Amino acid sequence: MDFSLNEEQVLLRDSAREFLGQEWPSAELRRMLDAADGAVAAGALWSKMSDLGWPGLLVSEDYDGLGLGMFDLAVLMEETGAALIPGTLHASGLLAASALEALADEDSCQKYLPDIAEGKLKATVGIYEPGSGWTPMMLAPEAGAAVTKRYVPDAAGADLILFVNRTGGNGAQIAIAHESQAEDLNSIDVTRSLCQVTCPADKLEVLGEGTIADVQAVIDRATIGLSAELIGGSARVLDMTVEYVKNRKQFGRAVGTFQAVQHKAADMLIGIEKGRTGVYYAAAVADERPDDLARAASVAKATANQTAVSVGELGIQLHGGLGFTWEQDLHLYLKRAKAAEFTYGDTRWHLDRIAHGLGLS
Amino acid sequence: MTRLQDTPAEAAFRERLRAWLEANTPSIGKHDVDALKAWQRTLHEAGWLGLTWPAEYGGQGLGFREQAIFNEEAARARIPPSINNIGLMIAGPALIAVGSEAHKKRYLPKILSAQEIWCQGFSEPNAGSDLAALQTRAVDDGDDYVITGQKIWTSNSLIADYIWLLVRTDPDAPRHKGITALVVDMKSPGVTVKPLRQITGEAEFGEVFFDEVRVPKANRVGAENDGWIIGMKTFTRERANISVALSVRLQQQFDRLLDTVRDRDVPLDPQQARDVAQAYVDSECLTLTCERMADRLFGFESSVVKVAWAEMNQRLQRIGLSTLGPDAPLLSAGGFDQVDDTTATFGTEALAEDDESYAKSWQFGYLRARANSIEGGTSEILRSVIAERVLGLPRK
Repeated sequence: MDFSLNEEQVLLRDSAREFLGQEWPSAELRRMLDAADGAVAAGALWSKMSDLGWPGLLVSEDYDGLGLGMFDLAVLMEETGAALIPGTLHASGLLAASALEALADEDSCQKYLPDIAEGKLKATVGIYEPGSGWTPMMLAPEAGAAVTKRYVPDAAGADLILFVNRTGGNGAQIAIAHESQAEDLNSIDVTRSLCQVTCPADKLEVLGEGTIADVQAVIDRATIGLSAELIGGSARVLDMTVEYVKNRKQFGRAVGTFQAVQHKAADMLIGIEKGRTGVYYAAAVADERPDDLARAASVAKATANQTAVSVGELGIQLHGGLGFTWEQDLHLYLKRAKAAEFTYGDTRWHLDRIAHGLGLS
Repeated sequence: MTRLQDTPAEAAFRERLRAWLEANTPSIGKHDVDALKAWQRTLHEAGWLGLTWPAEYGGQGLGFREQAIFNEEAARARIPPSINNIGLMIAGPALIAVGSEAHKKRYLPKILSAQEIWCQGFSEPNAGSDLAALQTRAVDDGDDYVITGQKIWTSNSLIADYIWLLVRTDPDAPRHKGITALVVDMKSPGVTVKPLRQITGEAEFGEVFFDEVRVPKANRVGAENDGWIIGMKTFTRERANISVALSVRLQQQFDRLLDTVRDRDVPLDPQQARDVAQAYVDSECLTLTCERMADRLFGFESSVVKVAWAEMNQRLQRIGLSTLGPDAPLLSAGGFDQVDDTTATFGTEALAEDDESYAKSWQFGYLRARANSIEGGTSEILRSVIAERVLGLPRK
């Protein structure tokens, strides 16, 4: 197993960190959240990220993308997670791009993927249905008069809303949801919207077919990207916390000299190192050994969930009263972690899948 | 570039090793010292030990990748425990780092061949985590030092030929500056070893007493009063090597956990199955973290994996024991009958030969694992190391 970043990946990571430091500092994030022109901030960021080619990072070169792999994406998404960027890149560049390449027919790929890669088209995908959980075999095999999808990321700002449906048995399809109604579900994670989207069944334009296994692979790839975002966010929380406890003085000395504080900071690092391994491993598996994708994605997500929530909580604790204020960004990371924990399967779901794969249930 | 697959050279190495292990791996009880020495010698002669050690001292001059492959394959083949683990993982690497040419030539080959078993004399009754408080005295007397004092928690001391020792040579200097590192022959007049019975019932470690023991100055490693730095270098190597060796242990322990679970008449309940899955996640992530951080493990970051490993192995043993249900306290329901390598354990006074099945049980593993967060640096000390040396938090 070789975890080292190659030259391009180091460049990608460093340039992304620098770019986001300039273009998406806390002040811009706050402008998106608080100001009347909030969408303008997000839009400006999207257009600059598009100039860098990020929405097309995973899209194959046949469709004018960069044709890079999940490991490259994980390296990038650690940085975007650290900066708490809104959900468009995840929804369009990862989820929608993967879903189209996996399920849509050639004409549809030709029609939509180049625009997605260029950032001209912001797409998202609805999979989860009330009652299905994050298990695609549990999606309703037949559509009623209308199809409802929950937890659709970034649907409000999307130009193209795709539905992935089960068609009976192991069959699945991808369709454009025309004339759909999106209702914001008011996620605790204010940096990233989740919607419920309903589309009349006769307004679904089918773009291609595949299997439930294809759908699971799409979710697993998105899971790895989300895990990378969580680990990147956790690393940023640790940086902020280390900086704070070095400088905050009580009892005449920096609080970072107290063992009770030091040991919590150490636990944060231990979790992050473990979580980063899980993400890199799963991303490498996605690129090179897709047969093992399910178990590897579950290893990454179970670990990232545990790390991100625990680091988020400890970060607030070690900042004391300041950590509990709206003004500090820490709560935004914890909320991201908490919302993500239940997206694409919570820890229990992933442990159950691993247990099943090991023949334990 | 591929990340998951071996390069052609690595694949050939793995294939050769796997075939060799399949043909040669014996089954040896963990208390059979002679057989374990012979096994280590066999491994060495076949070229599978000291993989990263320089060739001129009997090593193979290979890289960390080969060592990682060895660990994986050794786990897979369930090889017997390493009898000279202190020599191979602590004293040998420390000598490579700081020993003189003469020391390396003299000691390293016999560490590899198990002709000489080593132990490490650092801790004392009043110098545990606070190692710089050590008081064992070495008095300058011509060509010799004369040593008087006591070491404690000394693993393998009952079977060791040499001890890697820290002594105080200058009692008047600031405490970090009066310490010297020595190699001492355990057969020297005045050395006495007493076993210490552990909570597992056996005596893997002991107390070593020095009563005016004469040690030639030629046995000094590094300069006089330079022992603290040498000790610190020993520690980072110890933790790094423990971290690397854990790959073997964790994989073996997890495989045994699966064996135990699959042998049960009653299926696991969902929460137990989840616990086992969590152990899988943890052991995968930790083993791979050792590989990912390989080039940083000889520094303070080794503490990151050491702490994680200790707690993970403790959790795993707890899970293993809990899978036995109400039979958990019963020694007759041990759980697995493979050779346990939680650690190599010797000094059989306290543990009767017919208790071998206990030594292979989840009960034993659970109890033995309590030491994981104490030995090689307590988790409390290591968390402070992580905070101060890795994260850069201020010291008091």
